Parts: sequence; C-alpha cells; structure tokens
Amino acid sequence: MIQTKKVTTLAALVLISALTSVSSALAAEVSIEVNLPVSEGSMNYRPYVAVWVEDAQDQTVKTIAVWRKEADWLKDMRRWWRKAGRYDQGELDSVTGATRRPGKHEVKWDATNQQGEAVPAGQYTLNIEASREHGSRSWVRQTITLGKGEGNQVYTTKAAEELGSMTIKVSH
Amino acid sequence: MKKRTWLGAAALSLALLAPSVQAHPLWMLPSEFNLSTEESFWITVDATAAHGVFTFDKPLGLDSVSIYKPNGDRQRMGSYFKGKRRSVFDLEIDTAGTYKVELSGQQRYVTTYEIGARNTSRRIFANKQEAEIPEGAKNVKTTAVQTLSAFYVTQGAPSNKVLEATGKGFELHPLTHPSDVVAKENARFKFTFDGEPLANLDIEITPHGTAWRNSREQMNLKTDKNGVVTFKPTVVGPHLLMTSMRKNVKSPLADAAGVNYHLTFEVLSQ
Repeated sequence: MIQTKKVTTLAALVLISALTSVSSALAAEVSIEVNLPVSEGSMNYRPYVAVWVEDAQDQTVKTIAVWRKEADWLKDMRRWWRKAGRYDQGELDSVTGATRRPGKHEVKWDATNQQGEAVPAGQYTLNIEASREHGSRSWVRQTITLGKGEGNQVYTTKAAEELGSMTIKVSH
Repeated sequence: MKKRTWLGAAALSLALLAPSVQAHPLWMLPSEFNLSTEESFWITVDATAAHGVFTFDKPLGLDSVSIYKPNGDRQRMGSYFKGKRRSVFDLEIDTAGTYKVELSGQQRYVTTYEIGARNTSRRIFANKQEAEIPEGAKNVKTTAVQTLSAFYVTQGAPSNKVLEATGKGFELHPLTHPSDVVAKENARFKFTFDGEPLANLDIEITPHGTAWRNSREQMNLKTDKNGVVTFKPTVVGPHLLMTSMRKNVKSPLADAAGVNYHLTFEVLSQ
C-alpha cells in the first residue's frame, strides 16, 4: 500500500518536472571555481564565503554555498546577508559548510531556485562574496545567460583582494 | 567683569538645561545596526550632543532613553556611563527583528517676543500661562519644543512592529525600512505629526566622518506634499538625519509645537 502511494507520488513528480522543463526548456548546469588566495601575515584567518544567484532585477534566486563558522559574522558577507541570509529561507541549513583552505573549490548550480524548481531562461548574475577577519571584503559578480539560444559559456573574473580570478562555466 | 561671569554661567546653564532650544544635535551611535547573531549579543551605544557627525562634544543624561523590543515591549535600560564628552550604554539584543531606541527629551516651552524701540528679541522658558510678558512686547509666540533622537537595530530580518504608526506626535514611516537603506539606491521616509503628513519639511542627511573631510557633504532635502523625502546615499556607513518641525497648534499653553528629530541609520553596501 505504502509502496503504491510512493509510486504515485513519484509519477506525479515526474509529470510536474516534465511540465516545468517544457515551459522553461532549461537543462543547464553552472560551475563556479571559487578561488581563495593565500593570505600573507600572521593573522591569516580563513574567509567566510557566500555564493548565490540573482536574477536580472537583482532579486535573490538561490544561495548555493555558505562557508562559515560563527553566525555572528555572517553579516560581514554584506550583500548576501542583506539580500538573502537575513531572510533565512532554509539555505543556511542546506548549503552551509565549514570555511575552506586557500585554493580552488568547485561549486555547482543546477539552474533551480531556492524551492528547487527549474528557473526560466534569461539573464542571471552569479555572486561570490568573501569576508575575512583581519582582512578585507570582496564581492565579485558575473552575468550569465541561461537558454535563449545561448550555448556553453566560459567566463573568467578579475581577481579581487579576497577572491582570486575565477572561472565560471555554463553548459546547456 | 562680575556681570560677564554671571552671564556666562547663565548661558552655560541654559545650554545644559535646554539643549533642544539650542537645536544642538543630539545623537546616539550604536556599534552595530544589523546583526546576524543567533544568541543574545551586546551592542554598545555612544550618545552625545554635537554638531560633528559623529564626533563627541557633550554628554547626555540617558534616563529618558526608551528601548522597544521587536514585539513592542519595553526593555529596561541598564546602568550607563556619563563621561566628560559622551555618554555610553550597552544594550542586549536577544530577539530576532527590529528594536527601536529613542531618547526623548522633556517638552519645554519657549516664549519669544520683541521689545523696545529697536525690537530686541527676547525669550523666556515658560508657557503661555506662566510667561511674564512686559508691557509693549510685540510678536509674542510660545512654542512647545521636544527633542527626539532615535536609531533602529535589527537582528536577522527587519520587522515593523516598533515602526507602526500611532497617529500621535512626530512619527517616521519607513517606506524604506531604516535597516534596509542601501548605497546608490533610492530610500524613502515619510514624516507625520499627529497623523498629518509634514509637507515641505527641511531634512538634512549627513554621512559619518565630517571631522576628516573638508566638505560636510550634507544633503539638504525637502519632503513632498505627502511628507515623503526621497534620497540616494552615495557613502556606506552611519548617517545622521536631522529635521526641525514647527506647526501652529491650538492649546492654552502654546501657539506652536516644535520637534527636533535626529535619526541615526546605517547605509548598507550595495
């Protein structure tokens, strides 16, 4: 009985996702290679980092990753905190992780919103913000296009104080 | 010589007793305006009467500071320190949402008039009933003046309970929430008195750091007919908004009501 119910739910889910994909026709994947530079000096703490997506109107679509320790300093990822973090829509539980070492760390976005639904084709902005105790705050953004006949895209961002040059790949 | 000392002392005591009348800006500056803490967190607040933004000049008595929690309940003010140049108090933030902290000076009555062949301006700190106006005084006017100084501090997402309108006295209506003013984006505040929009009100907004630059960089603005001021800050960090309202009222004690209002708020990064 339980088994049947599960199957029904699954079938419904497949149907819904099929419908959604018809309307948006989006099967895109975005990969962001977050680059944390080696910091000099004796007080080289690891940065707090947030990676999130905004739409063409600068509205938050989804938080992809948050690397942090104490909640007290989440606000130092200033834009992310103002636009997404403080309205906590569950992202803190689902995407949060420990702070990372210097180096390159790949993060992926499956072109879905915070609720897990596929986003419509259009322009989006990838945002990467890093804030380091006894260091600086850097915010880097890159506009990408999903669907709309655009093919695969590769972008390279300019290096900032707390974020090295990063490669962003869009594959359809 | 003796007379001069007495005058000096009188002027000084006036300045201390009635800062509102002197229109000396009174402001409070919290260490943080926005918090991401999950547990209780202490912020610390400086309070002073000064023309610099934000430089210290004179300490304030803080017994008239009211603290409102996000649900509207009052929170007790703890002990505070009154130094030579500023006063300091600490404030525990343990609830998510927006707190309001307001310093509200006592209402004072000022009666002004002109007298003599040269129309010399005089003023007495008394209401219409108590003021002893000499014979032949012209343009006698009594104003009830109150000084308000406020800031809002938010833990997590901004909330609106402490900003709900009551329709009484001078009020700020957050068309833009004071915890959501962003550099290079338009922000809008509305001001009312007893629920009536304050049209054509002069508003001054000054970014922090006047002591370390040549220009004060003060924005001189006016509210529109709906009492709304629109501005686009360019600098990130704490700002001081000042306005001075005068409105004729029907009262046995005064001809006009006046409010000197100071709001400290943070302009957030883009």
